Amino acid sequence: MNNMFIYLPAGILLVPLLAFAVILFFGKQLNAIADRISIAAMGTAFLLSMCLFSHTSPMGAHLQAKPIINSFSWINLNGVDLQMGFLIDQLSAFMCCVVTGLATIVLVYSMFYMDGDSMYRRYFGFMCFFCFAMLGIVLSSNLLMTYVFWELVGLGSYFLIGFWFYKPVVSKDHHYQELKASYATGIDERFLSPAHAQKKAFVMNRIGDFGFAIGIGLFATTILAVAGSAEYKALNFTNGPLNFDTLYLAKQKGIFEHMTLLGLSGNSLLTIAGIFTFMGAMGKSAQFPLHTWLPDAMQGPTTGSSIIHAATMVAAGVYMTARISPLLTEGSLFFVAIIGGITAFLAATMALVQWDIKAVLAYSTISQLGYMMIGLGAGAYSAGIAHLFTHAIFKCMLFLCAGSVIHACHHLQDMNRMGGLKNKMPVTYYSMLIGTLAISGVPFFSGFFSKDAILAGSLAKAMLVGGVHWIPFLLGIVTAGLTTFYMFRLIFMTFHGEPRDKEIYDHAHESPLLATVPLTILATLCLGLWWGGHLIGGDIIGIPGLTRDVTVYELKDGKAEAKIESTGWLNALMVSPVSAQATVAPGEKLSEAEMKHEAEHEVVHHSAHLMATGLSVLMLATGLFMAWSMYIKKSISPSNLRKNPVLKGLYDLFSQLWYFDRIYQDGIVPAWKTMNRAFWKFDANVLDKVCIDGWSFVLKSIATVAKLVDNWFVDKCVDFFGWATSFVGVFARILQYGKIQYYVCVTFGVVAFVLLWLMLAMP
Amino acid sequence: MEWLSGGPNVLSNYLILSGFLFACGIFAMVSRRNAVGILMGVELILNATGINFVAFSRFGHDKIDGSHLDGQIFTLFIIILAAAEAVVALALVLAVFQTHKTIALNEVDEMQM
Repeated sequence: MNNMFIYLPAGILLVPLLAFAVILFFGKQLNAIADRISIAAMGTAFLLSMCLFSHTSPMGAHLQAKPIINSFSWINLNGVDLQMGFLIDQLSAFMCCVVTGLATIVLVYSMFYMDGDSMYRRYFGFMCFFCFAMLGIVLSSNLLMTYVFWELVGLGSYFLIGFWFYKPVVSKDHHYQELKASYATGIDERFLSPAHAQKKAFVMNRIGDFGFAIGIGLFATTILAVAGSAEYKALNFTNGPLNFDTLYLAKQKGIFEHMTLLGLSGNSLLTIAGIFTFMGAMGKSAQFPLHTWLPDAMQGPTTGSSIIHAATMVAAGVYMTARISPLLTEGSLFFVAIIGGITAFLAATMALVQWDIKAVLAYSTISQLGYMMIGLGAGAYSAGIAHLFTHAIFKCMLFLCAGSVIHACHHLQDMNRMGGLKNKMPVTYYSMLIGTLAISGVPFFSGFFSKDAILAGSLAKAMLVGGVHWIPFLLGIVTAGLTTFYMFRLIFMTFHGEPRDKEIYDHAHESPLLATVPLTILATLCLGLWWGGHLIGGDIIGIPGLTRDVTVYELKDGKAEAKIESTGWLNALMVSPVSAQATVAPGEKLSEAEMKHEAEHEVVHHSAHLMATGLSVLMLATGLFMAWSMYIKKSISPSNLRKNPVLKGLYDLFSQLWYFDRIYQDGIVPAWKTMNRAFWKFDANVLDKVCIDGWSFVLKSIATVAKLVDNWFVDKCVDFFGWATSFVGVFARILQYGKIQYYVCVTFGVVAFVLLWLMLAMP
Repeated sequence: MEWLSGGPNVLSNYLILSGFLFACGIFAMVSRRNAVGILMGVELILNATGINFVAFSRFGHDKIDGSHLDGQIFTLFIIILAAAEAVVALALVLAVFQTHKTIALNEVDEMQM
């Protein structure tokens, strides 16, 4: 049975890659059916993912669910074993389903949206490549493999954002200038084009990856530092230092307490490592301060954005944070939460004042990602993950609807010129409405279930720990109201009221089936009932089979007791690895103290849940009311509000995106370039002149000395031998007289001498 | 004066004669410029050995049964060999003359001209 957990993930991972390769190499011949190939591939991957998920979901039934890891040793340097492999648990299996399912739906939609594009098949190829990379992150068993596929996902995103790379900069693009709003502000138009956007996205990702690499390095160093000790051997690590199971086990056994590096040690070092690793997620998931690339990324095709910037790539950061969450200390978790909170709030404020449909959705994505981080940072692991999934689906759908609207309005993206499209595009309207209800957290929709859980978790954390932990919760609550406001503003401006541009309105029409069917499918998935969602406690609307029973500890008369409670299946499945690593075997009872601890937490959680739900519904209603009065009833006019100096100041701040883009573009980039130039000058003038040329001078002098020695000593030695030979020859020559008579004399003399000697010697 | 008591017809006289001839031959070889003169010296030496052989055939101690003529037969061979050798030597002289353009052997002291 174990083989299944090797071949299924391998299939899921490699089928999209195969499709990419086929489109890459045989694209010309297969021009027309490139789309069908990619859809077939992603569909197959989706079926495989469903198969995988059905096999893993029994695992979540009890508390101790260990992920199944199959990996092989990729590089083995001197005992440092870096592996590649698959980690299968409920989370990764379900994530695969979401990624592949959304990809399939989006690709079907893309057949409509990208129709007629000159580089049609290139788009489908890149989508398959991107999905391959994303699935690599999802299935990876190992921080190193995650890093590799992290980069590949960044590459896929680069390709898709800069898909229309030949488009000129927006300030020079006539088409864009015609279609934009008259008061458009915010992003500097001299530096906005698909080419710029792709570069910006990739570079900002890389900045995050720098931190990520440092974090990985810190974790690996610690494990390797203790690698020789008896303690380590006793743990019986079978996999390399960067495998997730190794890391979890190390954290559990307290190996990280022994870390020391540069004067820091133990907990503080672990916090720093966690923060650095989270920097990768900050880059990938567009958290503050690395969030500016996402709005620029709207230069790419809307369908590409719907996969990348709604559902998958930006979710990769959240996924990775979830994977390393057992390793994060309280400090780094708080860092995650606060960054998430700031991001959520900032992005929501920016979304309030946008004229472009896609821009609103982009900032909305950033904001919702902030929410997920709030959830993970507050320890509400399953809430953050749940929001990841629900957000993926409704945001993907919102982007597709936006694409439908944009297509119908002939590439117009300015909401100020739309209006009254409700009657003309009913399917799009209702899908978008459902998505908006979901994102606002209206009860009975999927978003309510996950968002509510996040806010509850955050509030519970704040109530338990207090102090500075209130900030993420407060930011989250305010953002809930803002979210409702700007999303309904979008709906009202686009679909309601009188059409503001007669021509656009006349030409608008509903998109064909190829577009509306995907929208409908996604809209159905946005309803709360599929997610085992229920209102407050118990299941009011819960389809049997979608709820599971979990053991919960309750405080009765000061003693803790176990109780069986039903909760949504997603909640039950997404067991945090921390609790999964708990030293409790299924069926075993926790100790008294632990049970009491759990029960006390439960009490706080319950009251927090009630309070959070109430507050979020309140904020929702406020936001909806504001949007309605501004854009439907028109009792408050936006332009009147702008006359107020304070509000005008805020409006400028928000529409200039809190000046982040300006700071980066006009401040940091030129400073960096200056630093680059300074380094180059140093390199050319100092390093090259002093080191390279100086070194060559040294070498030349040595060579000259060697030449002198060679000429005056070595050569003389050789000459001496020649002279010696000729000197000896002067004497040896005498024997070679050349005259015959001389030879005869010598011969005769010698013979005579020998004879004489013999005669005298003989007795 | 023991060697005089044997009379005039005694071996040693003949050996002295051949020795004298040998010395003359050596002298001729050593003191001649002319190649042909040197060859005459060689002839003298060879004849000296002939006389030696004849003397030993007449006066030698170890006679082979019934034969006193071995030395004389040998001398005949030597005379013929001397002739053949003179032919070869003259051929050599001819060759030397062709390369060195002279047969004064005191000038022929290098392999090349």
